[in-house]
Amino acid sequence: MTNFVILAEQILSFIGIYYIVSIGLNLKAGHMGIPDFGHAMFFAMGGIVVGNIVSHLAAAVAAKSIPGVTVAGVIASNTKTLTIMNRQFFPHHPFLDIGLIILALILSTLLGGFLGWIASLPALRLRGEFLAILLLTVAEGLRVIFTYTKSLMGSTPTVGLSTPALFSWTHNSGVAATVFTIIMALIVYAFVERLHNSPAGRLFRAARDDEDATEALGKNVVTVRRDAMIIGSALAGIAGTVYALNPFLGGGSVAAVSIFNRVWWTFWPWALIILGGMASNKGTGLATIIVGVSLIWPVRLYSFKVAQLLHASALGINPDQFANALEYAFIGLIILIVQASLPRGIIPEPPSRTLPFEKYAKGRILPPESKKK
Amino acid sequence: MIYRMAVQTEKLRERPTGDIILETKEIVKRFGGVIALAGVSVKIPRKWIVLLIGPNGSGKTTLVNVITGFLKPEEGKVIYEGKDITGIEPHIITKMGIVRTFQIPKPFINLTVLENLLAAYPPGPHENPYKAASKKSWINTEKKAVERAFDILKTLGMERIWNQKASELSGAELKLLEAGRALMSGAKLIIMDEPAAGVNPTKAHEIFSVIRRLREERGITFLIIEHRIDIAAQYVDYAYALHLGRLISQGSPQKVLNDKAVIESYIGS
Repeated sequence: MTNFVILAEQILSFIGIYYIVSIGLNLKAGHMGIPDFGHAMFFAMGGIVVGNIVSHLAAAVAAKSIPGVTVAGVIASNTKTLTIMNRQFFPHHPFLDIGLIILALILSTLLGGFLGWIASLPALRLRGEFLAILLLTVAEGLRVIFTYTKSLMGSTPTVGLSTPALFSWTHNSGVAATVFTIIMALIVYAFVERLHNSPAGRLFRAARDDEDATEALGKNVVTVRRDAMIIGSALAGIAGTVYALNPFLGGGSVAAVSIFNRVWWTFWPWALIILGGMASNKGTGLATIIVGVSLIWPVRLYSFKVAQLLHASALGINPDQFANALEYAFIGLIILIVQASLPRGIIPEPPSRTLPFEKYAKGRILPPESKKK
Repeated sequence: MIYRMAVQTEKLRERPTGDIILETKEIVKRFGGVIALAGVSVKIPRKWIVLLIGPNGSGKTTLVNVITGFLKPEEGKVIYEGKDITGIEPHIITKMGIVRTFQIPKPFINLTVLENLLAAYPPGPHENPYKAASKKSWINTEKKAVERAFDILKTLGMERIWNQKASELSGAELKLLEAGRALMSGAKLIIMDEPAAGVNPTKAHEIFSVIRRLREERGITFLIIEHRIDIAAQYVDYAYALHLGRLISQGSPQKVLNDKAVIESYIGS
């Protein structure tokens, strides 16, 4: 039973986090047509907010009452300081924890959006593959800088920073974090659906389809592209915060190798939005659910067994790596099957329904033929 | 009485008179050593459908580019509604009410017919994505836009396909959609570049009928570049003929079509 609960929590957390991060990319790539291959860097901003900024703020408060906690210790002796705070401080200060969660969400939105705005400057001048390569290399460059900057990600690059356990005041922080992840995903869904079905969302899609025609209609395509970059990146920042707060996802720490991981936070979201349908919020959701359930439950659970069964080690292949590769093969297979049968995704791009158009149409269009029927 | 009126209209159309919406004065445009326009003066009266003809390279498109602000003339002036608009940025000219449609239609291919029109509604705060979550910020403008869009669709005769994607439309429908977007953006003068190109004769007649209807019902002025003069001539009020950057003939379409200089410019002398 507990196994089942943990499995369910893992699946739900996976679906929640991948929905938020993919839908941010969908806004940029699907709605606006910006080939953002540096999506992971915006996601990383959220992880840094929790692992670095929030920890510092909490330590500043905790240092007054808890011995052994100092602000400098957050970086200098990260594991020790955070262990003390996670045991003795956070479980007893629920209101501060909630405040810090809200603050982390706000900061990551701002930081993600700010980085998105900076990234939009080249995005206004470059097109297609040039922009894709530029954003990919900028994200990789940032990853290297963050990895080796002690004041940002701690002294051990692969270990990174322990995250504050901001759900430790609840009875079961695993359940709380999962519920939080799902609620955030639902809020984000409500937001992007509203945006899609608004004049602004329609303008994104129009500017994507034909920039010249949009300009000719007196609209400023530069600001439209910039806004899509900012909002999509801010959503990625939120996803990063949710990731760092959820023990099933971050595992209690954030490291540059995980939050800047281009496979997890750039290529997987790309795969999910291609699967679900570009500029389709519902499609991306469905794709995330399908992949989340099948990947975490059968694939991740049994891929290692499959690797053993196929005697991967006898062939000189590391069974762990083989099992990992099976995951990629799995999503590759799904993409091939879906693209062959549904080239526009599981749910193709819907129109922007700002108003109940049928009502307006009904009042006006009464063709004589249909009257006779 | 009716006879007299007919004669009068015929007389009126002998020369552009009345309320002149757009006028070019002695426009000169050179590309290096090539003189594309050598002092072209045209007058376009309000609510007229004016045809601009001429063989390839005669300067038609250059003239349109000068009017819409895409090119700056070396000499001469463009006067629109009494204001000098020579050399003003294209998007400002668009906002002032001169909208141009492209020879090859540029629809928003993944948007529906209705969305194509709605996206053409004049820009404003209702398109602010940061306020999109609050319906209040855009719902009133959007209601007006939808009303206007359905009205325009009806005039265009496209109301039944309002929910079709632009990618599913025929060539003629795309041309009408372009005109619809121009109307939606608040155009007073629509400049159409070959509306009948690549469309079968029946559809071409349909397009010109719609243009007439737009003029009657909405008081829109049209400047039309068209090579299929035989079809266009039945629908336009006035015609200008260009050849090698000069105006060689103007007047009623019949007069211009039968002008010796025009015929020679097309078949060579």
